[in-house]
Amino acid sequence: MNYKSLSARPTSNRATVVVGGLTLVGLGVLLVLGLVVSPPDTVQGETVRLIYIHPASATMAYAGFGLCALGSLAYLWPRTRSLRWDRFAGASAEVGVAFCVTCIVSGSIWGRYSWGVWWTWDARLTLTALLLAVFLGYLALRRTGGDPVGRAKRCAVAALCCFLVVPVDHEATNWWVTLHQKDTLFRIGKAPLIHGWQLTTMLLSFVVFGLLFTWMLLHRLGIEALEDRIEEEGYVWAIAERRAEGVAQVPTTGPRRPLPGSGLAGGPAAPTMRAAMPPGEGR
Amino acid sequence: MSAATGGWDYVAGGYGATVVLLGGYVVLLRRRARVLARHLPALASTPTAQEPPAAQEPPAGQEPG
Amino acid sequence: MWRDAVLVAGKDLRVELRSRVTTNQVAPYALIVLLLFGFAFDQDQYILTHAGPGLFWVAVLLCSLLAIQRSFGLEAADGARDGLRMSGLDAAGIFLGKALAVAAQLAVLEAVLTGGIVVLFGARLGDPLLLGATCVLATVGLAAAGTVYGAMAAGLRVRETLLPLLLLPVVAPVLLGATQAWLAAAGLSSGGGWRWLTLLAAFAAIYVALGVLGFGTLLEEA
Repeated sequence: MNYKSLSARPTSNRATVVVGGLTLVGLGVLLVLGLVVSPPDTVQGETVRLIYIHPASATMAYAGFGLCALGSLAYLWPRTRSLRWDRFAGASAEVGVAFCVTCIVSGSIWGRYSWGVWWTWDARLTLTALLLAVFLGYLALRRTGGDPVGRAKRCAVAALCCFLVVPVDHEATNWWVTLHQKDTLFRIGKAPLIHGWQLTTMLLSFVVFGLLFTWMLLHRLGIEALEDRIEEEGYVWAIAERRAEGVAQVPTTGPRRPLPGSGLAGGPAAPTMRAAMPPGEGR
Repeated sequence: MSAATGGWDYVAGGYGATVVLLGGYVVLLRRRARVLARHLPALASTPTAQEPPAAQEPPAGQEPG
Repeated sequence: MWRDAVLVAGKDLRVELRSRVTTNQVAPYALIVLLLFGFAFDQDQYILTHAGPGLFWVAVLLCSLLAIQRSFGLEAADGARDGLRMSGLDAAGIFLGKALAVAAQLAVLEAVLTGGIVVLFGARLGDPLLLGATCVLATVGLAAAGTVYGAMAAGLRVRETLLPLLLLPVVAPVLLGATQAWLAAAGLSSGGGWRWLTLLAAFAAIYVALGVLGFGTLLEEA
């Protein structure tokens, strides 16, 4: 069972299995603590339970963007220049975006309950939305393809630009609040931290989300490595495959051709990817 | 107590959305990994042979020889 | 570095003077944007007067996209980009020169747009010193950030669609700061307008520094 699942997951290794197992256990404990054990809040009612996912995912989003900036800096630094850092930056930015979306959506649901609106132009909301937009742009830039070294340089500079938005915007929104909004609506972790179980659960949520983040990042890095291998070996293999097809077609037409068989039984992803891969990525 | 019991629907919505988003991302990652692995001869032979619809790709056609 | 900057800026502006793309195409576009805002708000004079500064800076952002695409479109054909790279000019100088040329064109556009909002929206302007300082700092920031991102997207096939996605969120602080400063100058908001200039100055300084340091990397890759 274990062996089979490992070979079916090409980005798994011992580290991801260990971290993944810990994450699963942690998520289970977190759910029990968050939904059953910890008491409801006197002001927020049951919705205080959202505090066990929302701040943690925000922190992981920041962590992802911060790691992306660090990886880009390491790439731009001549002594540590390696495409590995570029991959690291791209992977952590993408995982950060996933957590950023989660953070915004869960925060929006919370806001609907406590403020009555899905969205308000609060400083922190605006900052987070802007961060998301900026890093979506970064991911779009990463998808442009082309020479990996050129792309890596471009993206590294872009990541630093993107990360520079954070302090500038933070200042801006701070001033904005003092000018326009008299009360800050959203003070994470002030009132609910009084209670013991709530504090424990919230701290645990950071640990568990950190594990989940690490697990996702490891898998995402594995995917980057696979992509690079395909870019390196894909040529040779695609040529060999076409040649084998050609050879196979002449003597035995039916059973050797992969396309008719896989087109019926396999999912739609495999044939389209195969068709798109060599011209898009290889050249 | 009635004030404290309110809001379970929002809790469910928040947790559900989190599961959908992060879980969806995990599914996406795994699908990407599988699709990519099919393109690598070294990896492609093992997972495709052991997947439940094992008949989808005859291994003989995969090996370039 | 500065000599190279002047050379590159002179080249870009000379091309502009002869082709008149900014004056004949971008400036009318800016006025059309203002007209569209007028239609969108149903010629409501109150909204237009009070939102005038914000609409003005949105129009400037949209125009800056065009100006930057034009600035890098100049070198798209005939391998002019390679020529620029091989010319031996200092990369920081090229950055400053291109940013300067973009800034000069933006300044002209801002003058046109200011006339536009006064005439079309009946906007009050107020303290000219604050307005001018805001314009200078915001223009420098926009031109610097735009040149960095323009160079980043210049070699790509998807540059037309990618540049707005990359640039607009990044320059959002400029929109915020400049709008607030203009509102304060016109007496439409409480609070000092000058503190917003700190934000604009910080933004401009950061992106000028980033461009001076990083432009070489961006040029050599594409």
